[in-house]
Amino acid sequence: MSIAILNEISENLQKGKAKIVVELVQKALDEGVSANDILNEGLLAGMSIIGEKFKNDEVYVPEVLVAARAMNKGAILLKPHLAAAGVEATGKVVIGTVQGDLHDIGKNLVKMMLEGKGLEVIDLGADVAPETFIQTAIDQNCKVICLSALLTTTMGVMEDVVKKAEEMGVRDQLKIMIGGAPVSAEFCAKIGADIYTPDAASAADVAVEFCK
Amino acid sequence: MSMTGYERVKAVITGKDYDHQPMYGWLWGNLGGEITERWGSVAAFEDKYEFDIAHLFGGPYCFKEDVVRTAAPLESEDLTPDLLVDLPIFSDPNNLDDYVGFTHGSVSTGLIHHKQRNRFCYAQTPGFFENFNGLFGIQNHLMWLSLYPDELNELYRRMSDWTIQFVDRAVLDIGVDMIHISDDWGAQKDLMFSPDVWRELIYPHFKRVVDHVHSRGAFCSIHSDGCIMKVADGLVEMGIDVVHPWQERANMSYDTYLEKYSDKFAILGGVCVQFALGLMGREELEAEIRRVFGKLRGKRWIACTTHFVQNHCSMDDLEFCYDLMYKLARE
Repeated sequence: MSIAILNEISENLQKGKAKIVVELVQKALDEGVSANDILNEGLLAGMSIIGEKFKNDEVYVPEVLVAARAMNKGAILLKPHLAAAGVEATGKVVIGTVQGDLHDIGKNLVKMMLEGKGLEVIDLGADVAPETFIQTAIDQNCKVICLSALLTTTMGVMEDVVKKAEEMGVRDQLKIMIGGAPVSAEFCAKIGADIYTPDAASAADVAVEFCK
Repeated sequence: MSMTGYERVKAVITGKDYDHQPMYGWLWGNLGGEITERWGSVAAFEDKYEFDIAHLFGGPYCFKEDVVRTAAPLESEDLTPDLLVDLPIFSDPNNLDDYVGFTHGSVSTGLIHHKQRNRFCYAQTPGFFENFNGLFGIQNHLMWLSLYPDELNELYRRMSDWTIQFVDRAVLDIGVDMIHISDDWGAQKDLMFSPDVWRELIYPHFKRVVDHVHSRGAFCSIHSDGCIMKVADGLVEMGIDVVHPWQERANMSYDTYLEKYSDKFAILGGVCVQFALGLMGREELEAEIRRVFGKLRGKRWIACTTHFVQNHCSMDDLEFCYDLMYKLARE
């Protein structure tokens, strides 16, 4: 019975049916399904399928956005139950668009995919200074920093973040990931970041590995 | 015999022979001040390099802001298409006073200035997706494509009514040669939304506008950032005359254009501002510009920047680029 409702949650999440997902999450809780199972086997399982489909060009940005919206609405309902059960995120990641750049759709997509993998995400928003990324990672005990840039004029700030991590003596404790339209693997190597990922779903896969 | 800019551009668009490659550049957006400081005005720069085209901005805003405000929900809630669909949100596009930017010139100078220089003049207006991004925000608008398709279809239909009237004023009353519809559909590697969504929600209304532009004797062009390859065949069906920028760095290969589409529509672009102009050293930039001219010269191509030149481009680099383009265009 619980498998059936978890599948139903996953399927409706993939279709972006937020209202139905919330109803099903409540129903599952009422039936005694654990919050952890609902999260992992229902919400995150559905989001993972959407992530794969996005990576394989089977769905587009709107489908990811509505699925993530459904996931977030379901997760709100689960949050107190997860806290009561002592369930913790599988890792913690800092994310933001670099200083001088106000674009945030790409960053938001990555954030949704990261959350879809069960990671806790500290979203610093757009136009974030290098020292803010590093200080937040230190303060919040994050292993991974995800940097986004849309503009050729701001991608250089990614290098400043890497340098700032070196200056602050924490470079070896952090994995710095980069992404965005003008960025490439060559650029990643040039600035000394750890990895470039070409899309949001790949970024989430890599972040999960880095958090292990 | 030498052609005028208008004749040259028209020949490129219609696939006829022409004397040399026409040239243009999206310049003023970020660099108007610096160009004015160096060359006296943007218009002086355009004259120096004998631009064949003028891009006119400054038409009417299509929404009635006071009506839209009445539909806006509480700050914590999102504006959704169902809240707008029954409201008279569109402005009247028939007041010629609202077109003063085209006629007197809001950027460099207006239509008369450019027509005196025999330039091909096009007027920009926002497309369906771009226009409603301004109301919903792009992220929400993308979600509404999935959640409110019927309501958006109706809003886009009404916007096509508005745009058709805009076309009449811009073409019949003001005299522009082409309507340029700016509607960003592409991300760096693919469309932002599916080709099916494009076909169902964008295509029918866009096609209606393009047909109307043609019925008024003008051309119609589309600007979209990013990769729009999956709807290139649809652009042909729609009857689009010019595509800007055909962004090579966004999976839009020039070879594909030349093989499949160069007998269907012209392209405007070629000088990449995302990776080349303002970013490459001189030798690399020269090689890049020569490579593009090598591929596209003599084809249905108007040499231009792929987007507005970014503000990190120095005036020396800009001059170097346009000196070279001017020379290569005439070789």
